[in-house]
Amino acid sequence: MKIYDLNTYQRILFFGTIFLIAASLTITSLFRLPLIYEQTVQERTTIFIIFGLIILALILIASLFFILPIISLFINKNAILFIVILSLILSIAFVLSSAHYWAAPEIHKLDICFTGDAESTSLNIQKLVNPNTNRLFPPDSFGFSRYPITVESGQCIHGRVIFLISPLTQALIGYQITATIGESPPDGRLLVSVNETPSVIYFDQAANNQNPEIVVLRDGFSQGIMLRNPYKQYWFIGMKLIAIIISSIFIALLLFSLTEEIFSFSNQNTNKSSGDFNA
Amino acid sequence: MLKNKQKNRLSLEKHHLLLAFTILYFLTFGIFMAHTSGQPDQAPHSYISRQFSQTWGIPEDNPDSQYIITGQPYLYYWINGAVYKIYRQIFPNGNLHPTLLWRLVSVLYSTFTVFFTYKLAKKVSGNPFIGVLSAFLLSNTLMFVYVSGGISYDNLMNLAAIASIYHLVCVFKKEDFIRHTMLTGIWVVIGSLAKDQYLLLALIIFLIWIFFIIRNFKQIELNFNKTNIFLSIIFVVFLCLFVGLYGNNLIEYSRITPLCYQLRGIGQCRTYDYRYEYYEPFNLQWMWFVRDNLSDPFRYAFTFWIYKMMESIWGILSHNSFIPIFSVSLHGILLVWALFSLVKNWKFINKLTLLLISILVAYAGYVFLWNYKREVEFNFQHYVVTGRYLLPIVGVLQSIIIIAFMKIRNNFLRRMSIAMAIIIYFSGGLGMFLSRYSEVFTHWRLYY
Repeated sequence: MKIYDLNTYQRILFFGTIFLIAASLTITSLFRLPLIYEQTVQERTTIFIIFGLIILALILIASLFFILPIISLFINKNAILFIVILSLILSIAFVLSSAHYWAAPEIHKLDICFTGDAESTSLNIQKLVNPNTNRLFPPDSFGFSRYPITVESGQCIHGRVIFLISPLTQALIGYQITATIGESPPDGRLLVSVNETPSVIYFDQAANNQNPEIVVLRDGFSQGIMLRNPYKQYWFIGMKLIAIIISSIFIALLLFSLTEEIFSFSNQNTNKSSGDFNA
Repeated sequence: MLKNKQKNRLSLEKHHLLLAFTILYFLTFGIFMAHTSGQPDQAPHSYISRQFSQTWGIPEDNPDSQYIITGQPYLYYWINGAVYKIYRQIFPNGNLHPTLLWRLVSVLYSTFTVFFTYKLAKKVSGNPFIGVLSAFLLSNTLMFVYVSGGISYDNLMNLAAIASIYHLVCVFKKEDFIRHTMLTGIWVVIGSLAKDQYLLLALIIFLIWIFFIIRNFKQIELNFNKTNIFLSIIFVVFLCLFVGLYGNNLIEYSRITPLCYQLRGIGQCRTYDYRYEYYEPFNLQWMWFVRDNLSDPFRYAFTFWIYKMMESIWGILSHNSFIPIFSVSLHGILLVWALFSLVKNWKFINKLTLLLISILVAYAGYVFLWNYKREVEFNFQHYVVTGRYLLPIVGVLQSIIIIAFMKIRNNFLRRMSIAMAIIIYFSGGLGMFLSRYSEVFTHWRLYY
């Protein structure tokens, strides 16, 4: 079957389904990436639209070239068995393979101030990392496009980090951040406030006690703001589950069509190219 | 009949579409990897490429540098130098960092490697979709893509390996003998001039080519048309370069490539790079005494080597390492399943697939023996045991995997095997890169 074999009603149904699949695959793909949760609503919308359009184009091509021409084969018992089993495997894999997909973002406000013993010194923070997952928090909200985050003496910088709290991993995640300072920080006082709960670290080269290269921040994380709406709401979780199921069925259909294409080519050309030689 | 012709034409269009998608897919993944650090030996590759970008010939050794240029395979560096000089001539004020330029050149080499993998699998199976699938698997092999994003002669060597094997297969298919022999020879010399490790593959290819000539001597048709004469001249030029490097080294240093101490004072050679010059040489008398305490080759292979190879082909093992153990296990299961399918359907395997299997076994066997010898010499400290050394034949492996799956006689199992291969490779390739970016690859991010 080809697109011009469809009547108007079928064409509307076809394009409606394509849009639904594109939306589902976009949701299934993008909510697995921490990057998505770290954007503003406007940036997130732009990413969703651009990615969605690329996916839409790919799905349209795949459907027109591979799925639609053999759509009549899908009522075959073997085809149904393959599609059902593969959809199940994919759905389970999608549900379990990403903790971020089910996560709700929790925002923690960070204020970092440094007062150097000498004037015109600065402190470089090489990395802010979640030690449980090794996830690197982007420095954008502190006004830096890349690490290190530099805090001049006598200045404070303000930003935020976003924890992704997922029911799959929540029990194992400790609420903390490690800040990598480096080997020889300048002498002075570093004050880090997490959600307005201050912690103070003193760096002193002359003192015998070693300066820490990595500072672990633990206080203040109980006062973060979790975005329950929409991430914790049942309709949203249900929508993501439906997106997974639709994506899985589409991928199974596509893989069936692709393999059918490979097999039918092989069957047509078995006699044409045996691949033998007279060695 | 007409309907069949139309259907075939449509099938061709479809596989071209899939091939274009695979190439674009690999380019995107490769460019991502070009922005990550930790690929093998970036400092010497970068240094030597810089030296070559200052001359059109072979630069002289800097006595203060720990890296040696004299007598070493140079083609990869020479091309890097030429690319940089041409870039500078076209864009005198261009601000593209030379290391990024060379990384992008590497991605380009590997794109052609992906393309030749497609051509090879298509040639052997007669099915272009099998070619596309093999290319897709290679495009998702984590270590291959990771190395492709770095400055490394491995990328030119991998391209030369798959291209020479492809033309050898064409020789065996009795396509124009002169043309494909010359092209095989040209690629063999290109590989050998890129990295001396290629010489082993050159030997294997040469022996197989001789085998073909002996078996088909009377049937070979020599066609000296203009293209073939031109290719023969290019081959002779490349052969001269080959002899000029390795012949000269054999005469002057009695070795394929000179040792550090043959060119420098002994004091300058005591760095980690030249550790091979200071080891306990493989000695039969010593082996006699320690024979009961050695890890025998079988135990070594099945308790260490095979797993290490898998981890460092479908994971990353270099100056930065990332081994997604679940993904590696799934690739392992897929490999075992392909092997089982191959053995079970052995009588349906065509002779070209046997040729690929022979090359794979010979090359992998040598790398194993080479690794084992090094292990014995260095008291099993696991120097240079990494899947990177198998990358020249990984495209061959992936072609065999798909061909093996295609031989499964149960339609459902065959379909499921291919579908699972696509899923496992995607989720262990670009899928893995994107989903673990914020936890792994962002720490390796390079800014230019």
